[in-house]
Amino acid sequence: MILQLSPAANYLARRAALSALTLLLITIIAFILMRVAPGDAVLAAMARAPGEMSLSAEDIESRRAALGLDRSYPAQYLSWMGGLARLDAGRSITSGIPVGSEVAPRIAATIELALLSTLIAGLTGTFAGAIAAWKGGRFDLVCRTLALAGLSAPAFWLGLIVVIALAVWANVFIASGYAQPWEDAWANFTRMGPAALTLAVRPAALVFRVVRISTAGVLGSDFVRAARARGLSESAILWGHAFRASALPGLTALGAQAVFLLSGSVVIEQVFGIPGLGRSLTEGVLTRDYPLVQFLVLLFGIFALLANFAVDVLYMKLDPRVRLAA
Amino acid sequence: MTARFAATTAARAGLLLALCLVVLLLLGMRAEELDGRGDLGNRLAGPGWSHPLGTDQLGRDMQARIAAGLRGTLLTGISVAAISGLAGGLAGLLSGLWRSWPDLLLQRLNDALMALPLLVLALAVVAATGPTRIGVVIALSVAFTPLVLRVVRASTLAVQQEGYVEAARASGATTWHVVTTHLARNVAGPWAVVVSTQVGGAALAEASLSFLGAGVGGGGSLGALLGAEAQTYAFAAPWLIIWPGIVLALVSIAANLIGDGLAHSASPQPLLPSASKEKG
Repeated sequence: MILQLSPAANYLARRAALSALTLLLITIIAFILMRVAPGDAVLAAMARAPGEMSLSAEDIESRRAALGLDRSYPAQYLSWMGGLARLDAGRSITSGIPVGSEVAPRIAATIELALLSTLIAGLTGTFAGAIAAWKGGRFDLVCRTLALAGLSAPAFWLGLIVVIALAVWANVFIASGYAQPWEDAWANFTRMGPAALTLAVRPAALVFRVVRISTAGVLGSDFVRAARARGLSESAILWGHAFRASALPGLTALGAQAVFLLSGSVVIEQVFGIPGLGRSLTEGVLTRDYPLVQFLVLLFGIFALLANFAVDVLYMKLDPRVRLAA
Repeated sequence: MTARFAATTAARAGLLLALCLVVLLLLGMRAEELDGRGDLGNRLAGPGWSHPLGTDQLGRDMQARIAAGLRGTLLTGISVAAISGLAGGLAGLLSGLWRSWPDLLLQRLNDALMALPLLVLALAVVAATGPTRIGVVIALSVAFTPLVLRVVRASTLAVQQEGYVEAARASGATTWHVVTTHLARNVAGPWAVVVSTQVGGAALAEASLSFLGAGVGGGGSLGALLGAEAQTYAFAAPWLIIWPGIVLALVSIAANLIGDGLAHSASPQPLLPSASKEKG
């Protein structure tokens, strides 16, 4: 090797190369999925607009030709990839707008939702987990029950309940839409707050479980006994010693949930009427808008890979053993 | 292992809950017989004596509708867990045994599938298969198989590192013997944990698909009961939304508890060290 990399950088470079390969496979999966089905965008448009049902067979063929759907699959795939290389993902079949411009204004909402939920889930899950393991007893039991319920309740259902409860009991109706936080912070908060809280329930429950178990393990370990023997207070032991060691597995659990958050954002955006990527995807799937769905699947894949990569880097920063092993 | 399974609290609670769901199913089927078409004079009635869980916008008994939905949800969840369990289990076992280029290829494909958010993948497959019962089962099986594959392959690799497997190999045991006596037994535990948990996961994912309009419609699952129709009346009749969601959560809790019980009985050490006792 001409370039001498540190072991850590070497490890990350290998991960990046693997991610690139994964991404290539994702493009193939996204492409194939949208084409194995009977019917296509032209037929789907006809089914939606009964007025156009009179399209003759030749009309349908010419429309397919105009959209490039009459070429062979490899040719379609290569032209899509060629377009992506030139930063051109094609035009949405339903709206006629370039896919990039259709998707771009929706990215901020989805990313804000995911980041807010990660923050909420990380903080509540870690602290509740550490305290539950430390205190035990009733607090522990209540937290564990809540976590089990949070893991089991479907996210969109929790969202529906939140919307209904606020409307019926507090007479508060959550407005749909998205306001940029730097333009109207209050409108942004009132729209994204309930959505982010709802989305955070499941990852918070998972982080709680992991941190609780690892804190319980650390509290019984020798270095904690030694700290106790030196006469340190219980809270100094928990926050100064045990917490640092037990927060790491929590971080891993949270990182693994990044992909779930993207998945959950699809339904949560629907519940709270947030115009994000997830809603585009749902609409695209129902209208069989190939270029749009292909691009969105790719985009979700990129986000998920970036999230996993970020967790790796963070983990190496926090845990010296990982740095050395790499 | 069976005795240890039945001894864990989680397993007992899970089985009890599963039994409750079966009772609910039977009671609902009875209600279905009594009131198959609903009574229009009694629309959106709150929970009461004649209809314990209330009625919907067409006067149909919610208990009966929930039973029908629960049947569809369980059918979907169990089918998905069975298909992904078999496919992922076999592929993971083979992939872990013969580690050559098919393994490498399969692992990259598996990584790519797992990198995609579950619902995004399932939605894209449903776009291809269509929102029918079979289409949804296929979509969710595609989405749930990669995790089973990863778990089974990892434990296959781990077991092969064990001294007793090396010893068996060294003493001339065939691959078949190693698979049937050593691997099958040790891989079965983690496999059962994943598959049982996936019944709940698939039930929840199916509900999300239904909610988005890409699942089975017409009250064919608990998720379908939570669809656009119910949401229209949700403010006037919250029970239309509340009951199906709770039953759905119970399905998921039961699957998780049974999975926990299996995990406890499959692992040699207790999962939670009894650290808190030492504190005092």
